[in-house]
Amino acid sequence: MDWDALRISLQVAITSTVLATLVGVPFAWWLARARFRGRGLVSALVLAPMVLPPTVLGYYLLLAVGRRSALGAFLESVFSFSFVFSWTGAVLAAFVVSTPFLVRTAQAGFESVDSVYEEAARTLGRSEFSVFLHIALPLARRSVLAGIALALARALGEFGATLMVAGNLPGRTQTMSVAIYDAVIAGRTSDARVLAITLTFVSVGLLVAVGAGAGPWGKRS
Amino acid sequence: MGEALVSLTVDIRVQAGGFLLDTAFISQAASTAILGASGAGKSLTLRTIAGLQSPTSGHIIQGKRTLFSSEARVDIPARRRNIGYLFQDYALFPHLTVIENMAFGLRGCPQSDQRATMVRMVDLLHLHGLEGRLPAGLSGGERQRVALGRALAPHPGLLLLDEPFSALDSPSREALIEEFIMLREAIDIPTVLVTHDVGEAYALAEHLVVMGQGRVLQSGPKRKVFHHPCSPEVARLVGVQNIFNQGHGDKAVVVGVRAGDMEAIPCGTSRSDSNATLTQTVDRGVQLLGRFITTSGIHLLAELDRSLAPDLVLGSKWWVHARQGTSLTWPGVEHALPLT
Repeated sequence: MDWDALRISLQVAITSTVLATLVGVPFAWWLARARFRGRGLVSALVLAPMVLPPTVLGYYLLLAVGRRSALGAFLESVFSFSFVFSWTGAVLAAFVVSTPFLVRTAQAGFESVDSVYEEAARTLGRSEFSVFLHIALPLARRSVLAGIALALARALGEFGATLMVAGNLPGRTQTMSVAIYDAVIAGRTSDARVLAITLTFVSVGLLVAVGAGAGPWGKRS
Repeated sequence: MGEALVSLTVDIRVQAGGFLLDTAFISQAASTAILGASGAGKSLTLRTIAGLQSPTSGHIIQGKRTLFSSEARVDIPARRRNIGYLFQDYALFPHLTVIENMAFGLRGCPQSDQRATMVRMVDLLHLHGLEGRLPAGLSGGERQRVALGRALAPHPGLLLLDEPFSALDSPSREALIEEFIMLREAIDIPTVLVTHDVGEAYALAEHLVVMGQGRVLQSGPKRKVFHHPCSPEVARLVGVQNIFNQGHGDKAVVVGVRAGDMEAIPCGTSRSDSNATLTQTVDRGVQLLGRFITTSGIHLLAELDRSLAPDLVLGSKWWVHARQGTSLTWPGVEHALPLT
């Protein structure tokens, strides 16, 4: 039993969650505050990955970035880069699967904060970026952190889409979840047990660590 | 107030949901009050001046500066308008301390200037000892002072106040209005106040804009609007308690008289010149009021002489009439006006 799978899992889940946070949190704020036609449709599209089976998502991702797709062919020929059978593919899969959890949770958090605070900050000369960073984010902090924790947990446990896009290459793309499946299929029950228990502790530990970061602020948000 | 010549021109239409706001007024005064019942569009008007809501069409000009113009395609964002806003519930940032709240609008200023402004604000608003507190640990009056400090610290060109005293209970409210009048003299910034309270509007503004159902009903110098309301509707909003129909046909008019302009003289039960019956007394501290019903069935509210207080008997007969030259009249007939 080697620890490559754990390293790859953490590497993939953390990278994916950092990306999901950078993209998803501002997007969630925008979604909570924007008023336009089709807002309902955008919200529904964001949630789509939550209701689709991960293998279906993985299949669509292959269609989008696989070697036979226009984007995949372009990346391959110009940068010699491919998502397929690489750890970046696992990141892409985890990102798509986990970001909706973050957006949904953070959006609810932003919506529960009275927008009058943001208006007050605007009348005090602050830019939209500053309003987001100094008012919206601290006031919705608890929900945002909960969203990040959910996304991280989901990314860590991601299996279906990852297997479709990144494959199952031990030491390169084989994450914990995939390794457990591999061990069970191959009859290595003690390996599967150790992996499962390790993943359980790592997941719960990360959640507790993130939860501890939520201070007294935003208790009611 | 200083002699700074200020002018505010608002001529806008706003379509917000099912509500249409169509408002126009010009104020040259250093202090303006927008008076109206709830739902009249007062707060929405204030929000458009601050740039928190864009009108559908029209223009807003403050001094020489066009803040909004649909024709010239100008819509200065709220953050560049340099307009202070005191929100109805103060909207103090709950995660920031008193000082952090008040310094929020000073970002980008040198540290030493920020410190000097904060020292001045703490002095001006009597916030000594509260600097490190969070808003949750402040009283209503303290919150209002912090919110004022926050709005005033960046030295805005205009200060907007949305029902600033409505969240406070009566005793602290009067004290705060007094305090605010003194503060305004010290800061010399033109103000626009939104209120549903006539007393507040009278105490705090020179120019009065009366609004109803999304429109301006009357706009002018305070005294003019108070003493010559242009319609029974405005009269009711500026506190004329007695409004009733008089005469018939071509001679029909609506008459308005303030309770303080009514004279009420008690008559013995045998006297024949009584025209009204006392139905209720209302003691408002400064004013002792009596409710009457006249022989022709009109309800009247009249201020009573305090010396009569021991002899007030409900059901007694009185002679009630408007003092010479105090009644307001408007042509036309107004139906079924309730007493306020």
